[in-house]
Amino acid sequence: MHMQVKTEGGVAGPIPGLSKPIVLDSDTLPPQEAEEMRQLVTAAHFFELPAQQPQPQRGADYRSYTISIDNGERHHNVQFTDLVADPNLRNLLAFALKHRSSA
Amino acid sequence: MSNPTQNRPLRSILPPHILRAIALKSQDVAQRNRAIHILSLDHTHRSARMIRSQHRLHFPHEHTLVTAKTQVQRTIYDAHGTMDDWQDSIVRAEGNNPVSDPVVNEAYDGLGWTHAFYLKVYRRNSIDNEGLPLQAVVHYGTHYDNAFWDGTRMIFGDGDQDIFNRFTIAIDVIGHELTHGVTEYEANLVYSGQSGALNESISDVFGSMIKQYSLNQRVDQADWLIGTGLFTAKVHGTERHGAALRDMANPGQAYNDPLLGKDPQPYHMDHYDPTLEDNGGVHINSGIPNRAFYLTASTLGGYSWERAGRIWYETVCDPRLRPTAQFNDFAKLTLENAEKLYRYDSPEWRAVREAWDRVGVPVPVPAMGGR
Repeated sequence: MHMQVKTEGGVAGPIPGLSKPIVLDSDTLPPQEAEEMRQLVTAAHFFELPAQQPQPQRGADYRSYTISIDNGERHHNVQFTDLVADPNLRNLLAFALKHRSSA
Repeated sequence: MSNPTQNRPLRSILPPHILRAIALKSQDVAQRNRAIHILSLDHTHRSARMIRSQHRLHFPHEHTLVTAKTQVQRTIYDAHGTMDDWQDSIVRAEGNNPVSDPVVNEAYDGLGWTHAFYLKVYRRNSIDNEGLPLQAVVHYGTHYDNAFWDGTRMIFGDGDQDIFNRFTIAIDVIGHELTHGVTEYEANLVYSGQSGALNESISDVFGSMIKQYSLNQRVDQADWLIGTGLFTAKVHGTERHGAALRDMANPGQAYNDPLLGKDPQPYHMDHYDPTLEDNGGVHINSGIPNRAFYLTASTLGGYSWERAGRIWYETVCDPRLRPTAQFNDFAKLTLENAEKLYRYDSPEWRAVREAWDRVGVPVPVPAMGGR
């Protein structure tokens, strides 16, 4: 399973050197983390989610994320912001953000 | 997580003075937190607003009899590294003593300075000008490199401690986020393209003035940087100063680092970035109106909030400022407000006109005889 997370926005604005997406692959992650990633993707019903989550009507400086996942059989992108309410999608995001330095 | 059903009896039965007593004196932590939470939602405030509205409806020629209190009401919540589990975790409420966590105290003090600035300088009663309580959530997420306004409250991450420090460290960033609330209640500038860049610039302008106000700095004493201290020491600044998020005096010169690259902000319309990223470059092209404000303030001297800030504040509150305003619309209104507040061709009016000229947003002005 291959996952990519692209982040935009935030009060700091676009910083050229930090625009690189996070890339995670179950083949290269430690087995326990690869399994955690699969479980989080399943719990989020990722492949059934609408590609575009609701856009906030209020607020500013929140971040926008695009998660792209390819599991070998299916490929799907989901766009959402910090204001997304879906806790399972938040958990998947939090998992990815923890791996930012290893990207 | 909060339980709305649990809160409802307290909210509907108890008057505010009882809630305040529970919040201050109850030995039951859960009960005390519920009372503080309800006060932070400010039932009193909502009721007062409704009563004022009804009063105006029935007695349109009388001055309103009910006035919102101007005392700041702050509540700081701790998310403990989560992104959603903070509603029951109040760590400091209005009037409480400082706690051992500096992040909590920085947020509390930053909200206080912002409230005091708007109230004392522009007689604005909190974000909505009707006494809205101020809420902040700290320790949001894990290594979260951001602070944002969610439409109701401020959210602060701790940073990754590698490139970013904690986001409460910079008082101008706190003022910046709360000013997004002010803009939302007034002009509601669409958060995209030029209107979004104006929205961002207004937050930088007032965030910077709030920092200057807290330090009692005159225009020539201020550093005109946004987010000093947010980057860790490893990030390179420029020959003028250490790294910051933005440089209002010299957009494009906030940082220049081997890892992060160079600050992408333009200082003139000739370098306007038509990017689609970042909601159409809202944090990039804000450099242009940021510099217009800096030039106005530095020409006028003294305290920035006295004349330049007054002109910008009147413009943000001007009903003619449309949600889709472009740079030239905003520039034109600042000049009209400079004329209204001071006079045509006054030093203030000329400072505003010259500032917009110098950033490539000239405002056509009819000759005095044609006015």
